[in-house]
Amino acid sequence: MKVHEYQAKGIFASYGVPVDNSILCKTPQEAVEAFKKLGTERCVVKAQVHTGGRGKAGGVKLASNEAEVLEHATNILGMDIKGFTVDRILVGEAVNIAAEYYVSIVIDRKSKGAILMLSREGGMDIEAVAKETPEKIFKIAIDPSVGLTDFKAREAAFKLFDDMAQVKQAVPLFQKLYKLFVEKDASLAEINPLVLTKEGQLKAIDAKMTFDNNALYRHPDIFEMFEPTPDEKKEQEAKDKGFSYVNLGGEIGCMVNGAGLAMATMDMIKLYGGNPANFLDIGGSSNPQKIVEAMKLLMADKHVRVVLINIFGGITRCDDVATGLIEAFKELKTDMPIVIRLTGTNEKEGRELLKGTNFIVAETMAEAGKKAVAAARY
Amino acid sequence: MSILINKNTRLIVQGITGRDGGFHATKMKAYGTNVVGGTSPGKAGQEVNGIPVFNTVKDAVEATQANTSVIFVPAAFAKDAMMEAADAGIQLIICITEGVPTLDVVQAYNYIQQKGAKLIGPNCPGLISPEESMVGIMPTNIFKKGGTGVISRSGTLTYEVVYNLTQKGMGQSTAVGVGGDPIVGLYFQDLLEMFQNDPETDSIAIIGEIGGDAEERAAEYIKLT
Repeated sequence: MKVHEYQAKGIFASYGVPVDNSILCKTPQEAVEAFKKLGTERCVVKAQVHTGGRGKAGGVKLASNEAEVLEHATNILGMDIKGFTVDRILVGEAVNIAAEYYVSIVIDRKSKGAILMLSREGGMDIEAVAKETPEKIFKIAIDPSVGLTDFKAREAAFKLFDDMAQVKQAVPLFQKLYKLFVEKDASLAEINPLVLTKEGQLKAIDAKMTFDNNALYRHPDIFEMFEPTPDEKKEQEAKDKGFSYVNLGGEIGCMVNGAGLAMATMDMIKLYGGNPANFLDIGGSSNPQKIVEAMKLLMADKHVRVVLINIFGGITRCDDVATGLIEAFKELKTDMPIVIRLTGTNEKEGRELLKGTNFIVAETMAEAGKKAVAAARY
Repeated sequence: MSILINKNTRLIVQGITGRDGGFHATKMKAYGTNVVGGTSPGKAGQEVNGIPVFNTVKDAVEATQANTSVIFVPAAFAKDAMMEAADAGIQLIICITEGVPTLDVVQAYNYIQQKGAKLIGPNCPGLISPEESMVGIMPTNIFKKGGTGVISRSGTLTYEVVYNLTQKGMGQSTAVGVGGDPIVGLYFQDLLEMFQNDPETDSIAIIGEIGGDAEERAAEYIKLT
């Protein structure tokens, strides 16, 4: 789950990680008031959206007087950035930057724990830095049984700073970042850039956090910040019913049990020249009600012209699945072409049951893919 | 031969009095897995389908000499369950539970490492050495004893692949579902090594999944060895 910059900064501040002074605004007038309140010579007006590349899209502007603040705030509010409409902006003090750094804590699959990632190439797209100059990125594994010890934090700080005065500021900053990462069950806590001001202070002037969805149950304060996009809303609805659903915009609706098999099914559709409308994993069970719900979800998508159902009968038997499907479609009453591929336990019995129905039955995944693509073309 | 589990596996089921735990304990026992006990705090003395229930993993190990544990407890309690098993001296811990917070897994994995035990999962279907032992929720009827080692990050796609292998006469030595979460225990490289050292495994099938670079790292490892 993502949060906005201002929310991440709020969490940072509550843990004592230094951030720039900033005020959240919803109207241009509020922005002007905020500028006055900050009392700084210049300020930065930043769009608050759940996507990267704000700067490039024109969603981050520097202002030196009230007229400029008003102008930028007016332009940025309501702006569309990668499909997100800006309804909030953050007005922050423009600090005097001496140097910029990259700092983050992230879950590392390889070392099976949290790592501290650092670079002197701050303010840049860190993935580009990692790709082009991997030697400029430092990764420090954090032992979960002891946390980020002083010596580890110092080791990290010396990667970025040559001056002991800055190392002394960086050590507690890293430790606080790790503390909030763990206590809030984050999957990412990123400062890009961490700025060294001309006055010699370290400050996070941007903040990004994402949280582990599996741990939200124990963080109601974080879950409160959840702002689902329309797509995420649909995905959440599906999740509540026990599905995983992602809309992809194609014409062949897919209903599959298991994520891996669903991916393979989508590959098959692509291979035969079709486009999957969605990823839908209906999970382990195949009870008729679940199939009805899944079909309703697929049919609500106006792009869907054919539905491909691919079920592997492992624990559940194919004849049970077939009976479930027949029952489900009695309730649904749709004339949409349905291609069904059943494999696994009792597959012959399952296919036998589907004979004489309107379902288009396929034996292999390839056959199902071809038949679905053909049906989508009429 | 096989890897990790065989006829000598002595299994306990943590969360055996739950719906899933009880159901799958019965299934595993029916397949021939040596299920020696189960745990559920406060339910010692009960039985689930003839399997004795203990309050703690420690009690279960003392009474049954269990060496392997499979976990079916809810996500919020999975970390504690994994650590309890390691503390009691269980050598191989398989966590089926899905939705376990990542940092819980990080801590549990670290603890299990310190205790010298092995972890498979969480969020995995378990593993099977056909005709010897199945630990987890795998559909046993599609497997057949043979020489192919199977390692997978996926669920049903594994079954699809195994089903086709079996249909073509290629049985399996052991099939392991490693789980799909960002952090899980035994992984491609560990298992490749075990299969490599298993005289009965003559081929290996790996089934990947989106996210991460585990497949690339496995390929690099294979190239090196």
